[in-house]
Amino acid sequence: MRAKREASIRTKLTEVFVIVSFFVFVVNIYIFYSQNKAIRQIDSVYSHNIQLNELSGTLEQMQDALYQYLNTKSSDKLESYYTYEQDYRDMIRQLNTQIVSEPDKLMEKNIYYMSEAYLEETERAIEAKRGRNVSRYNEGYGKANQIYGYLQSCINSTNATVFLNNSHNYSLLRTKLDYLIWFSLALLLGVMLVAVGWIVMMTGNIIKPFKELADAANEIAKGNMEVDFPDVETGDEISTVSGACNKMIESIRVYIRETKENYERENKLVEKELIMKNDLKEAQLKYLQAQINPHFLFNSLNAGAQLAMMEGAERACIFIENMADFFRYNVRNTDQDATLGEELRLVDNYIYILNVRFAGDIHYEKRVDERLLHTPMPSMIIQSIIENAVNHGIREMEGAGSICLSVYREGDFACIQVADNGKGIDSQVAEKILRGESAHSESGRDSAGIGMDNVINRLRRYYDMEHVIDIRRLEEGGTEVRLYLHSHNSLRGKDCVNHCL
Amino acid sequence: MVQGNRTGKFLIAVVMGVILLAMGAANVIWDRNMALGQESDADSAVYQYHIAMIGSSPYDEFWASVYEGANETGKACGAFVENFGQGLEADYTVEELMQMAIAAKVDGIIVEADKGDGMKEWIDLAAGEGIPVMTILSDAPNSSRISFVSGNSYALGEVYGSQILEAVQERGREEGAPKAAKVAVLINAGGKNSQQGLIYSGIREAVSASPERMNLSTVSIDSQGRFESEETVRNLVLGEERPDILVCLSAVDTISAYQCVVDYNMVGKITIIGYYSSEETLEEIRRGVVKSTISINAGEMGKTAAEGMYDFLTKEHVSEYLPVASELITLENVGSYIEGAEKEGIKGGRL
Repeated sequence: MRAKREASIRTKLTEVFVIVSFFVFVVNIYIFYSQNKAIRQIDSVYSHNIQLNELSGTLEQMQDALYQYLNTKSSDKLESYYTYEQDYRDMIRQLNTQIVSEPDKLMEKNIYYMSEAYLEETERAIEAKRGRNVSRYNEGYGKANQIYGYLQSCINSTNATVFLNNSHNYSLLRTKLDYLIWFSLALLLGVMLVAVGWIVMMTGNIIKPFKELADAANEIAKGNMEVDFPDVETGDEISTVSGACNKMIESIRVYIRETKENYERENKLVEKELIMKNDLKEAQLKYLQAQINPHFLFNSLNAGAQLAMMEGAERACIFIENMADFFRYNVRNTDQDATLGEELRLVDNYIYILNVRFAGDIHYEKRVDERLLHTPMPSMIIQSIIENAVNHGIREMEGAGSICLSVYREGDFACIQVADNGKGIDSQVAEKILRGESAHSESGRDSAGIGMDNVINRLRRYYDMEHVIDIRRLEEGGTEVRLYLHSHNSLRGKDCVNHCL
Repeated sequence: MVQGNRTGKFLIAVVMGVILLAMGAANVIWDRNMALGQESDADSAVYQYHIAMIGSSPYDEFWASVYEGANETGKACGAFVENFGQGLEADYTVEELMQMAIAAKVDGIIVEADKGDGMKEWIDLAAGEGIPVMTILSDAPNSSRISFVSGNSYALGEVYGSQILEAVQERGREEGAPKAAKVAVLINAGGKNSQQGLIYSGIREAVSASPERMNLSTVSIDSQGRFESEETVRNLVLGEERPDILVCLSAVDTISAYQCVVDYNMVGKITIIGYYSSEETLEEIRRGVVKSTISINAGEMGKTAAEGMYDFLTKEHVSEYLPVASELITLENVGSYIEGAEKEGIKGGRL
C-alpha cells in the first residue's frame, strides 16, 4: 500500500523553517515589546518630576514677568506674563483637585487652589498697576509674592517626595529590567533549543529513508541481489526513488533469471549436439569394427602365409606376411606414438604390397641415417605421404615410377624427404594442402584412409610448431615432400644432403 | 516513523505552547509588579471635606497623637484631616501655615493658636473667606474661631498642685530635708501659651494653703529654640538653685528632665512631675524616676476636634468650648497605661 503523495521534501523543509522562523519572530516581537514597555516605564518614572519642574519654572518666569511689568510697565513683559499665565493655567489643570489621603495628591490640590489664589492676586496687582494705584498694586504684589513663596515651597517639597518615591520605583524598574533581560535570554535559548531540536528531528526523518536506501544499495553493490529497497511511505520524493529502485531491482532480477535460463538452454542444446555427434562416430566405428575384425584378419593372413610356406609358394608367403604386418600396424591406434624405424618398416611393407599388385612398377629407394631410427613420431605419417606420391604422382605417368626416401639430420630436426618422379604437384594445390584446405580427397577409394590434412594437423599438434612440412614440385619432374621432425639427438653442422637420384 | 514524527511534532507544539504561556505569564507578572511599585500606602477614597490641622510643632509626639485621632475620626465621617505643613521642606510658622491653608481653600482649619494679634487676624481672614477655624490646645480669644478644644487647664493645674503637695510631704518626712522645698515649674517662654498660664494659676491656687513649705518658681523655656528644653533643664539641675521638685508642662520637657536627672545621678534628689504619657515617661514612672504624669488623651482631643469641625461643616453649629478630660498616672496605675500603650502602639498616646 503506497501512502498518498503528501508533501515534497522542499515543502517539508520549508514548513519547518517557516514555522521556526515565525516562532522566533513572535518571541522576538514579544521581547522587543516587553523591553520597549519597560524602557517606556523607566522613562515615565520621572515624568511627574519633570512636570513639577516645569510648573515651578513657569511659575518663576511668571513671577519674574509680573515683577518686571510692575517695575517698568513694559507691555512686552505683560505679554510674556500672559503667555506664562496661560501655560501655567494649562499645567495646573492637570493637577489633582480631589480630596484624597495620598499626601502628594493632596499637595497637588493645595497647589492648585493656592495657584488660583496667586493668580487672583497677580490679576488684582496688574489691574491696580493699570490704574496706577501704587499702594494697591504694591499690596497685591506683596500678597502674590508671599503665595509665590508658599507655592514654590509646596512644589519643591512635592517634587522631593515624588523624586524619592520615583527613585525607588526607578531602581525597582532597573532590577526588573535586568530580570527581563535574563528572562529574554532564557526565552531565546529555549526557542533556539526547540528550533534546533525540531530541525534535527525533521531532517533526521527526511534523511533516514535515504540512509536505508543507501544501505540497501550497498548491499546490492556487494552482489546480494535478493535485498529489497525499503518501502518508504513518507509520500515525498524518497518514496518515488524507493519505488523506482524497487522496480529497477525487480527488472534486473527478472533479466538475470531469463539470461540464466537462456544460457542453460543453449548449453543443453550444444551438449545434445555433441552427444549426437559422438553417438554417430561411435556408430560408424562400431560399424567398421563390425565389418572386419582385424585380429581375425591377421590370423587369417598368418594362416595364409603358413599355408603358402608349406605349399612352397615362397613369394606368396612373403606377400601375405607383408600384408599381415601392414594391417597390424594399421590397426594400431593412430594416437599412439611410433618410431621413425617402425614407420619406415611400414613403408617397406606398403611398397612391397604395391609392387606385387602393380608388378614391380614402383622403384623404391631409401637412404636412412641409422641414428635417427629411434626418433619418436606420430604413426601412419610416412605411409600416407608415400600413398599420395603413388596415387597422385606415379600412377598417372608413363614409364617406371620411382620413389626416393631419405632420412637425415638437419639442425635440430630429423628431416624425412620423399621425392617421386611423377607428374609433379600443382603449386596452387600444394599451397592449398599446406593451408589445410584439401578435403579427404579420394579417400576411401583404394587408400589407407588418411588424408594429407590429417597428417599435417597431427604433425603440427604433435610438435607444437607450424612449419612441419614442405611440398614442392621438382624441376626435373615429380614432387618432393619434406617432413621436419624434432630430433633429440642433435647433430649440428651437418647440411641437409639430398640423396635423391 | 510517521508515528514518531507525529509524537515529535506534538512535543514541539507543547514546548512552543509552554514558551508562549511563560511569555504571557511574565507579561502579567510584570504589569502587576509595576502596579505594586507605584502603589503607596494611601487608600484611593475621595473625601468630601478637606480640613487642615496646624500645630506649633508638627513633629511633636503629642501633636502626632492628636492629629492621628483627628485623622481617623475625620476619615470615618468623610473628611480628610491634613497635618498641614508636615510634608514641606521649609519650616513655617503657624501664621504662615494659616495663610497657606487659606490660599489653598481648605474646608476647615484646626489650629493650635497663640495669643498674638497676627493669629486673630488670620482667623478672621479665614472666616471672611468662609473657612471655619477651630483652635486646639491653646486659644485665640476674641477671634472669630468657631470653637476651642482643650483640657480644662485650671483643673489640670489643681491636679498638679495636689501632686506637688504630696511630693513636698514625702520630702518633709525625709531626714535633713530643708524646711521649704524648692519647686520649679517649666513654662514655655513669653507666657504666650495661655494654657500653661492657666495651669500655673491652678497650681498656685492648689498650693496656696501651705506656702511656707515650698518655694514655688517658674523657669521659662524659650520654645523658639530647637534644643532649648534640654539645655534649660541641664542648667537648672546642675545650677546652684537645684530644685527639689521639677514640674514639666510639656512632653518634651518631661523627657528632657528625667533624662537629665538620670544622667547626672539625681534620681531621688529631684522629684519630677511630668506631662503626657509617652512610652518613655510611663517607663520612667514604673522605674520611679518620674513621680507622676498628667495626661490629656491626645487621640480623644483630636477626635473631639475633628467631630466638632465636621459638625460645624455639616450643621453649621458647634459648641464654643470642647473640653477633653485629663488623667493622673502614678506608680499605682501606670501598669494599665503601659499595657494600653503596648496594645495601641504609640498612636494612642495620652497627655
